[in-house]
Amino acid sequence: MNASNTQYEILLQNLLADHADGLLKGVVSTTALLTRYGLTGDLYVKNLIHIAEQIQLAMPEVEPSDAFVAALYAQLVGEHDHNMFDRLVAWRIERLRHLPPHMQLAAGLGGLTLTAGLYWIVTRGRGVNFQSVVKAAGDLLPALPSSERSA
Amino acid sequence: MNHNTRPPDFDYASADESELVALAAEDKMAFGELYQRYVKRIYNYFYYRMGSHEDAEDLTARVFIRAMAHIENYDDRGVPFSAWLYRIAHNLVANWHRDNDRHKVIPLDEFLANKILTDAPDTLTEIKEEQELLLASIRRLPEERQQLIFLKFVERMSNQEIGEVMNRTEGAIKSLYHRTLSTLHEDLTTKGISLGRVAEEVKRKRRVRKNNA
Repeated sequence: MNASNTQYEILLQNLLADHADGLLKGVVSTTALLTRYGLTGDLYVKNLIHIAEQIQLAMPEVEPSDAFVAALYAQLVGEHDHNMFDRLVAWRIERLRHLPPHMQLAAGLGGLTLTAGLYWIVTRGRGVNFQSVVKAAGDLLPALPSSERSA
Repeated sequence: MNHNTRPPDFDYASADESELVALAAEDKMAFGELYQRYVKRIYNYFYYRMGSHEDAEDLTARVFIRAMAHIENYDDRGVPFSAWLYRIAHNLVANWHRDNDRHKVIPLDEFLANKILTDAPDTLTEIKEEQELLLASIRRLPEERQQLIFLKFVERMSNQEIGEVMNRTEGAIKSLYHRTLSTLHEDLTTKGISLGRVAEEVKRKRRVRKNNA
């Protein structure tokens, strides 16, 4: 790569970085930016800027379901309350809805058995060793999705 | 001497992250607070990497279970807690692909409303399809480039912050960003995908309507 190519490359990298910063702050003027960098006629850089703008539109922040967040919290923290089992069950049922009907029964039975197991582990008393709860949950959890996928 | 003691009325919600991290190995409530601060971000990471809510839930759960089991190994020197979590997440995605050998593109099972308002359902569908094609193209990128796109556009991190997560310099991230956009451009062009075509058409029609009114 010769010196002018390297200069162009660095110019381009800086322009794209400035563009992305402006885009995320909602204050970018592409025309002004291209003028500032002396690249108004550069179709290649315009194409890259266009792609960056389309990426921003295509990637809005998404929200995990409340049931999932609450169930995982309960699993991690071992929160001892009477609603926890309900939340774990609600989460499992919500997940079952996404499966084809013929898979739902097998996955449901397996999932609820494991949910009950998780609940038992988490709630069997304050005297239980915290690290063993984490380890047990860690051993059990990966089994949940794979049992559903292969059901 | 135990450095990780706290008063009985300790307020987890307003505690510094470093305090919570120091406590978390022995205090599950401290870990719970860290979880609440980061669960949405980690979930988003997986959602855009994997393309489905189910996989995002599974992998999010695994990140936090793994983080909890290994938090005593986390060393605060120079690497933010979030960067540590993202590294766990990155490794899980790599393992997931290796174990499942599933590199195929999964369409997003749910798409939040895009920012272009239109009253025509067909147009909305076309815009959504265009965006799905773009996301599919992003998922064909190498792992580290997908991570960069996520950290920049969803996490809205600066190049310096991305560098901390990815263990690269700010300059290296700038260069990688340029090469990533360039690769996407090439991929989309090769496949004959023209982004923003539908949105441009909507804007053009609106201008015509406005001028005619």
